[in-house]
Amino acid sequence: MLEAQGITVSFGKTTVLRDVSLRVRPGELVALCGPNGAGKSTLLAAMAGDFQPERGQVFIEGAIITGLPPAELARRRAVLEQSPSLSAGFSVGELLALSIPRDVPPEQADALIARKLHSVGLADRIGDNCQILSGGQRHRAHLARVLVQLAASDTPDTGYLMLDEPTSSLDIAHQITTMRIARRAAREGAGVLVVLHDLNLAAAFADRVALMHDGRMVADGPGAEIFTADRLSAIYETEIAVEREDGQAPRILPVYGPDAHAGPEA
Amino acid sequence: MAVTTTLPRRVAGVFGRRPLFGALGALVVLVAFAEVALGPVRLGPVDLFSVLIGNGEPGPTAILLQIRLPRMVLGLAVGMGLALSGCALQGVLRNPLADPGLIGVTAGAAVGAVTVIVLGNFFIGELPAFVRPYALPLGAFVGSILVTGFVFTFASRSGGTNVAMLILAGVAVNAIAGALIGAMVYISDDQQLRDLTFWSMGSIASGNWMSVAVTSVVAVASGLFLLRMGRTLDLFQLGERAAFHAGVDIERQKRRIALLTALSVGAVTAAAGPIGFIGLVAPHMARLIVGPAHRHVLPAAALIGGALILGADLGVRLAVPPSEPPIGLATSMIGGPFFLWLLMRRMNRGGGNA
Amino acid sequence: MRFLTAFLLSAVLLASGDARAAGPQRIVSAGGDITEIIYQLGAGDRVIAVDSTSTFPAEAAGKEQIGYIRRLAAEGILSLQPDLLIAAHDAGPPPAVEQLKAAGLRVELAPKGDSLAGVQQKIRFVGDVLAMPEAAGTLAEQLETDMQGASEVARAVPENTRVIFVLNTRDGAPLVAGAGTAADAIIGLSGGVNAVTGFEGYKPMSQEAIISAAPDVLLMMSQTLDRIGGIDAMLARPEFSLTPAGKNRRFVAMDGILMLTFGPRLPEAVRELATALTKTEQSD
Repeated sequence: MLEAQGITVSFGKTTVLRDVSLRVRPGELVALCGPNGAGKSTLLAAMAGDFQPERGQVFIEGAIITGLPPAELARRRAVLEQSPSLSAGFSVGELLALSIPRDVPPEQADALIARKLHSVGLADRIGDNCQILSGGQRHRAHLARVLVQLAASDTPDTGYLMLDEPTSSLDIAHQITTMRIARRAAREGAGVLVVLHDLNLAAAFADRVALMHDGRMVADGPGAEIFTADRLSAIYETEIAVEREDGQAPRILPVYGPDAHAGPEA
Repeated sequence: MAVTTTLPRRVAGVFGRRPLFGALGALVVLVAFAEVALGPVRLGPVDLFSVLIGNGEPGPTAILLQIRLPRMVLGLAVGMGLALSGCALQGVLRNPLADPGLIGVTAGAAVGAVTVIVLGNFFIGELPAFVRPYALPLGAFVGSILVTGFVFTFASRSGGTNVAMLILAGVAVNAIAGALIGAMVYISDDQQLRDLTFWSMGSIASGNWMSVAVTSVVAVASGLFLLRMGRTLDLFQLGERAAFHAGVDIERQKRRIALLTALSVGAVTAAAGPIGFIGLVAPHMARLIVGPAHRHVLPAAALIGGALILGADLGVRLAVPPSEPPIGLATSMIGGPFFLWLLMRRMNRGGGNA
Repeated sequence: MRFLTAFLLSAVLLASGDARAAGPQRIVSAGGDITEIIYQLGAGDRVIAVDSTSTFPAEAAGKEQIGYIRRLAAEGILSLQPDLLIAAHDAGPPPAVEQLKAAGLRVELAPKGDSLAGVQQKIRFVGDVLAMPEAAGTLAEQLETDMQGASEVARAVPENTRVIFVLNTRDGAPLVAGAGTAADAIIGLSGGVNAVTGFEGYKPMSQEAIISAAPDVLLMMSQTLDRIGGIDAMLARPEFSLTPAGKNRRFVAMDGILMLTFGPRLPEAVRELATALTKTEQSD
């Protein structure tokens, strides 16, 4: 289990996280939602072991996460940054190969790379320079790299996958593909933590949604339960409607108000 | 750094990288052989052979064993040390224009060397006799280690080594070193001034087996460590945070690269003076030939660096015999235009990473 | 070690006067003073190469060029197959000199000397090395006689004629000669007083310091004066125009090699400078 226990984080005088706790269990997809500045990315970074919180601890399988050496940590969790970058002219295949430890035999590595590229829909781009890919394609290539990192570890099914807004640069179809990939990783045994702005994606794909506001955890549970119009309207400070239909994920719809276009003739 | 790698990739795709390295290796062997075989003094194959089997005339023996061979060994060590350090720094700083001068190694060496040249009279007498002939390289070495150490300590005060801080501290330290050198120049006499000027132009003619051996051992030892850092440097291309996520102990690796770079550039600069452009140009040439992956770039850059230094040295030795222009002239003549060409490519490609 | 022994042995043989043969036949000479002395001794035809500071006499400048005296290239010199490298005291770099010795070449470094006695010492040294001590003795005595004549001229220079030697004015403060320089020595020998005191060597001097040094005469190398655009350009600078020298347009432009070499033409240099310093009116 990956668990943040009562962590508090400040940058200078600004407290970004106040006594926040969150658990991600193996096999589970947790979406981390909330308005801009709620502290989602900071919580993800703390749970990735990027830094030691002022108060509280993050544990990964019972071990204090900042106490583990980076190489060991990399075997247990993989992180996709919000805007991944690459400053060398690697090909897509070379990019994915970065995640392969030295001791993995080449054939096995090639097979793994091919499999993960296929899953993000870039199987035919393996030889292309990353720089000629579109922004969305590049983001998916990095997603594949992170998947390879987790899959290449000696215990591929028990790691944690942490994705910081993985859908923000993608079109609708690829947003869905990405969430399916994340969900499949969870079904295969990984614990997945995804920072999402799109509440509908969260409601549709996450087993649990953790909702943050102003550095605090305000709700944690299945999307169908915690997404209520009142709660969302309050924390996003804009009117939000929630439509429910039996047997389906709730649909979250912003209410635009009188100054929005009413239709083509407006 | 994103050189278009279509050509190398196509070649590598068809033949694998082995022939490329074979060709580079052959080039180095060829230039190294030329360095030993050619020179203002004409030595025939018979001379070479008889010296080789320990049966040569005193004259050719001295020229080969005391002048050309140490030069060749030093040249290879210098080229390798500068190229690997430049490569590692460019990689870890994610800055294709980084060279060892950037983090103060060269400035430190210069301050050390200048101090020994100008103020040496006051303290060289205190040193043990066997150290005295090596006071200048020793001073340069100590200077480079101290200054690089300072730059890195300064940039890591807030816990993590901040790359922007590192570069800015390097700029500041270079300015301070410039001022110190200026002060020394001011109090130096005519002869010291000329020594200073010539030291700053670089030369691999130091020719003393002792200093060649020490330099080569330090440069090769740190070079071997740097050669093994290919994967780490590749991961640094993702950015430091992502490199950490992928398992790199970034602080430790940065300190390590700083130490190895300071050691090898310090040793090299101590023996040969500051030699420009090799640390910058060799890694770029390597990338053009073998692509961007550091496990290929590092060894290729080392070979290219050695070949460039020896080529430049051959050039200055054979250009206007019996006199010998400084090697820095030749490396700058190769490096400057290459660098401009690189910048032009970068501009033509719309300002992307070169 | 073998070469060193051979070298020592030959040195001993030469010193004992056993080498009656005409001495070294293929000489590489480094240092303007040394080259001039060799030519004065009449051994110029044995010189095969010179360094870049050896520009006098003109035949010397036509020999093979080994580059700057502080930056000799061992193998380049060896390629000329010389039997002697004779050089001024500051020849270098030391590793190159060591390599030359290791390759079995006889290397002789002359003593330093910016004075009459120093030049005589250099002449005798060169004479010994070239196995022509008699000629050297004659030349040294001749030098002394000539110097006496030159000193007569120098005595005619008005007392306390303050001279400033300006090496360069290229950037910022002019580079002038302090104590311990060849320029300082030649000024003294020629009956003048160096207006610059308080530091040694060639250093930049501030404009105000130059004005307060109040030189009566501006001394420059003619090469420098040509390069910076003549005396008018020089006197356009306030630090010179405001001195007595500037107000009276008193300046001396002399061939730099002649003035600063401290070779056998020392009396000639002293005579020329002293004559110029004696004239109180400038006639350019």
